[in-house]
Amino acid sequence: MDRRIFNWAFSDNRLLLWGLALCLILSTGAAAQSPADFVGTETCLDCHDDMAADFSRTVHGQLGDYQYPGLANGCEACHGPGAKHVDSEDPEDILNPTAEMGNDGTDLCLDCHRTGHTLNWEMSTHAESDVSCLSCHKLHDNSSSRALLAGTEEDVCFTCHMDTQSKFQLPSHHPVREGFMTCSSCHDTHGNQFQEIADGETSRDACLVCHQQHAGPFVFEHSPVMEDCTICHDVHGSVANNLLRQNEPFICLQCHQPHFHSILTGAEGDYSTPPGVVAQDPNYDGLSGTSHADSMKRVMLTKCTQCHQSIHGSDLPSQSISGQGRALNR
Amino acid sequence: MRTRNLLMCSAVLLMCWTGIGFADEEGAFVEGTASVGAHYSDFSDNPQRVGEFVNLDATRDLQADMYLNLFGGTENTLYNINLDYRDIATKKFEFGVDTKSLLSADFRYGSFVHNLDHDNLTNMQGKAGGKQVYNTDHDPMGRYFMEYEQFQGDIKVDMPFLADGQVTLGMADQRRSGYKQAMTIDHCAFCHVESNAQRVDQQTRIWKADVKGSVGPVSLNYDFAKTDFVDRANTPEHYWKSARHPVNGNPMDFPTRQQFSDVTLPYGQTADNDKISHNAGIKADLQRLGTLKGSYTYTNRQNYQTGIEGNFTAGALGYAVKLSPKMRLTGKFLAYETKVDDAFIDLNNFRAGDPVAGNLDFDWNRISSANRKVYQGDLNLGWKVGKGKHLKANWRYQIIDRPAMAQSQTTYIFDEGNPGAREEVASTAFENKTTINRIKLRFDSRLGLKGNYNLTYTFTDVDMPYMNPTAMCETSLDGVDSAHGPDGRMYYFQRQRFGNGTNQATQAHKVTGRGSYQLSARTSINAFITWAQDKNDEMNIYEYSRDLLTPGLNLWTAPSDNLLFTLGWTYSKVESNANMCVPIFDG
Repeated sequence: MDRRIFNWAFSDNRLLLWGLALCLILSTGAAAQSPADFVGTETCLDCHDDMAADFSRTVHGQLGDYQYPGLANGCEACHGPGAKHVDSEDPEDILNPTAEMGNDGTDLCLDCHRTGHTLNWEMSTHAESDVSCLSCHKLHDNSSSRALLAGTEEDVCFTCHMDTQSKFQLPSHHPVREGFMTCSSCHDTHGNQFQEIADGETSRDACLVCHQQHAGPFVFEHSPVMEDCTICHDVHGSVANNLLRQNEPFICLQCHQPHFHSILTGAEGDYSTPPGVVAQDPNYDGLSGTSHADSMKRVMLTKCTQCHQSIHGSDLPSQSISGQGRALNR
Repeated sequence: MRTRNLLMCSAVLLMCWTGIGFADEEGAFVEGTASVGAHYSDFSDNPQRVGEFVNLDATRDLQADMYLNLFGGTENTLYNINLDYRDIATKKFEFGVDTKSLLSADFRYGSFVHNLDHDNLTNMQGKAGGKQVYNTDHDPMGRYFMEYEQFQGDIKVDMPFLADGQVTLGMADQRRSGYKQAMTIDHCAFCHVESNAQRVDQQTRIWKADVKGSVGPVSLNYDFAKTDFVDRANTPEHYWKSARHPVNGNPMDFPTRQQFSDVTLPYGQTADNDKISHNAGIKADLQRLGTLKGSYTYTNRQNYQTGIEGNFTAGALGYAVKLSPKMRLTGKFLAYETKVDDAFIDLNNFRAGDPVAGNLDFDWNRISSANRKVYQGDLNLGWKVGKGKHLKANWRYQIIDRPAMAQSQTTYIFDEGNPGAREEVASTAFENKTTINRIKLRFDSRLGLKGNYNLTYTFTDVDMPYMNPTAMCETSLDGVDSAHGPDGRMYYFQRQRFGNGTNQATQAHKVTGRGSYQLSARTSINAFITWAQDKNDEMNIYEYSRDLLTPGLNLWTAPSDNLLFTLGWTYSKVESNANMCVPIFDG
């Protein structure tokens, strides 16, 4: 091949043009149907007048003719060309996607809903589990404004995820049953390239959408916070407060040892600051308490976050030098 | 609050006016429901636990509530209005409009209250020897809560010349305001835990833009998001008292063992930050050859307080194909890298000025635990084994390569036979490469014409799961006193530890089952069960295990179209075994 022709044909810009041209050719081929086979939605609704009002009130019934170039509109977008059916009035002559196509006709939906939310559908966990579009969406007789869902979002999700529904009844839970969050606040039901989460890249990012105060990145980290929030939190619901998998200190003691003070036997009785201290520093005035044998255990083995409150990370060093500032006390 | 409620009332009136305006047009329709009622609630003991999301300011009085749902439109326009008002702080409303799908807009607003605990710190007092613990709650009667508010709006414009072509512009504005309990501790000046009310006034603003469209068999998607987070409330401050000997209260040289002392400093600081993300995806429909998909993601997050930045870069490939009318294969590959800036921690020298021990330098370089390279592959095979019977098999292989899973505190051993010699025995970072193999099998089947069930079994095998290495259990002293230095003084260094700690399994089994059966046209029964067993028998000090059993039963019956009864029962049992490693007393 003449080198000039080769260079002309395959220069950077023209490669892009070749690609677009190929797409257009394929697009034209895919849409090749005879216009004569289509009768239009009005014709369909002449007989199926019971569906007329409902259909016109759905997003599908509102589509303009200019949308989805190359594809049919209205009833025939899903049911195929209606001319033969109109002539014969035989149900066999019109496509019933749920009965005649695999997976309730999901492939048909994807003809139009190719990108955006559904870009990853084919690789999603739901698709892999044979969940179809119609498992959650209802196209006819549905005046729901929310994406033609077959009920409220919770109704739809909890049909299958009943164990998750039960967790939302536990004392500590996200406000899903109160109606201030939905499953899609955290989950991308249509799938994404990461962990089926609605926003962000890792499960941690899904949490940070509402809990940005824990985002950091911090100077002093608590490493499980950077790893995965679910190491400590059972996000759908838990008996322990703050959605913890277990109450403190047990959740902490799975990865840490307690302070040695927890084995000390406490003195019995009331106590106050050591002699002379009050005189030296008025800030100590009034510090006193009651001690008994188990006092130090109660101090050290009740709730670690009473002292280590910045458990999600901090930019401020803690007091002890030998602790290297990382105790997350500040 | 008053301004916000006026704004909300104005918005509702505007929406209703919009609806009424549409109603004059030809072909217009409107349908909906409205209900007005009242509710009363009262709480005692721990209201923040049983009424975690109840506005406690609105209890003990009868509260009016209102629900309104309107759906209407004309030949060219659809709109919907939803209002759910429970009390002044608990409400939400939505407004959506769609003009022939060329232009659509959705606006949502909601607010609710989250009640927070108030820890009265009563356990924080005790005396052992000379060691003493005190507590002071400077706000003993304080009620802590967070009011969440979110406004969210999306405007979508279709691109008629492009199949599934659409441009979306969106924004969200989240507010968290209220008071929370802020605690901090003075230590080595006795342990004195103090608590205060901390004002919270946080705002997250998210801007989003999304473009999508298809050309022939190729679909494209690009989205951009920018998130800004600020906390406008003042950071609380605390006076850290002069450090003293914990036993006798004498000043001694304790300040030289503390990073700060006798100074007022901030604590409980919230870091303002921002995040920018780009995400591009492409999908090609190869007809009978399947579907091929690729994506690229880049995000950057920055902490404004410190300037520390983190980047995330990812690429993904996926392929799905129908091998036959009864068999479907999906393959996915994902690789990503997270890199967060290192941070050098410059600390005062321990016992600075001391001729024997004054040169101990505990400075360290913080390598972020977030840093990692992850490679993940998925293979999924779906097979229709009979009429109404499906079998799915999934295999996931994942490698997580971390330069520093967690960092150990520096520990020292003093060599008593060689006065003055100190040996640093712990490095500052532990590398960890986790390898995960997961197999998942699922069987779905119909149960006659009226029922269905499914069973899923998942087995996960993990090599070197996430853990806190050398976190617990101190090494044998072997006659060497690691706490006392060659000068005979106490150093309070962390002793060398060898035990790893984690609640992550090396082997996990999980079985879930769900069944549903329609007893009559208006009654159905559903049952589910989850059983899981996790264990980690590869740790060096103990075996971690966790067993979970959760069965449940739901009965639904609807005697009429407007009446539905639901009866549910769930049982949950979780049992876990972990080691508690108590260190020995060194003082």
